[in-house]
Amino acid sequence: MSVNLRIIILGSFVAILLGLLVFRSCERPPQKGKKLYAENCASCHGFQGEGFRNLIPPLNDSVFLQENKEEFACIIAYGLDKSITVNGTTYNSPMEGFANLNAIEIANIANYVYANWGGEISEKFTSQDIEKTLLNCE
Amino acid sequence: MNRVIFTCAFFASIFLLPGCIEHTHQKEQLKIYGQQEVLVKDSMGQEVIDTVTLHIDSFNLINQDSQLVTAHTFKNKVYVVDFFFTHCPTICPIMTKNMVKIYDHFESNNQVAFLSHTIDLKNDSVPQLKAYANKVGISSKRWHMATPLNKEALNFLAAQYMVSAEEDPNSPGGFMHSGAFILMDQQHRIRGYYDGTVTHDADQLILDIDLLLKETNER
Repeated sequence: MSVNLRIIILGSFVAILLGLLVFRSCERPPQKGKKLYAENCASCHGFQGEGFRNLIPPLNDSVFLQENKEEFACIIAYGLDKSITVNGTTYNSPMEGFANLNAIEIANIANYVYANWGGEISEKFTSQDIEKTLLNCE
Repeated sequence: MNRVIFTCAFFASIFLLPGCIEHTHQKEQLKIYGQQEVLVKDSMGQEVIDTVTLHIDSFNLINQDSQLVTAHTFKNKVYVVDFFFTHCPTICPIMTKNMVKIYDHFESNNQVAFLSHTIDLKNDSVPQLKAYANKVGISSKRWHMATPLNKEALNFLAAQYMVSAEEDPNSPGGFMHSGAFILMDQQHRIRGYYDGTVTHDADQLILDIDLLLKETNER
């Protein structure tokens, strides 16, 4: 192999490495709802949204999800510290919010939850919806 | 050139692959924690090295059924200890969930017990602990959710178990505490630490409890 060709190959290899380094330091690309749910929500709320006994409420209740569509993003972002009733059971253990999730990620999680357990939904959440909601949380 | 690429890929895969696989493993014996070697004088006045072992066997707690819980409660038992508070918004729900997994696994075994200390002495009264225990569906026969009688007792216990458990207004819920599950043997010695927020650690703890039971029953 000629010297020039080796230089080109090595050079492009180094360029790719540098490119990856630079890319990683950019804002991380949004991940899909299922993966985000698995990483952030499933350990408490269960992979089937089943919750845990009378301690952690289930997410697979379409009545609750429909009634709380407006507040859903607020709960993910800021947590919940009041009593709620889901499917006839009252839960009053507090939940911590996820300050590290951005609007796109919250939208992806919300869409995953509602697609699986929300029953009939008219439109998907967009990140603009989420941003607007988060400005008005109580 | 091809050989170089192939060799690099081969070695890379060898180093990278083990990191991907999580597995529990059967141990031969569990370490005893809290042992110290000290210099003492023997009967002849000679300086020798002696081993002092920590036994956490002096405590008084009240559990969710208003019963007094002491080391005697765990006589001849292998037990799992942790620290929590009922109003905890972050790690406690998953810790409770993982502890329940272990509790359910040893359902018919009275030699295995569980002790959860609350660190919120102000709010976690006996009725509050009882309400929490009912929400989770566990019985004080095998799982004691108990409160130390005062702050000094709580601090002393946390120090003995070598975990953190303290008030911290900057932490969610107002307390900062360790998510550790601590495995105790029949002689009240510490035999293992596990991350209560990681379900995989709970699986390992189940294996280690079986090992301890075997050790206890073979004596």
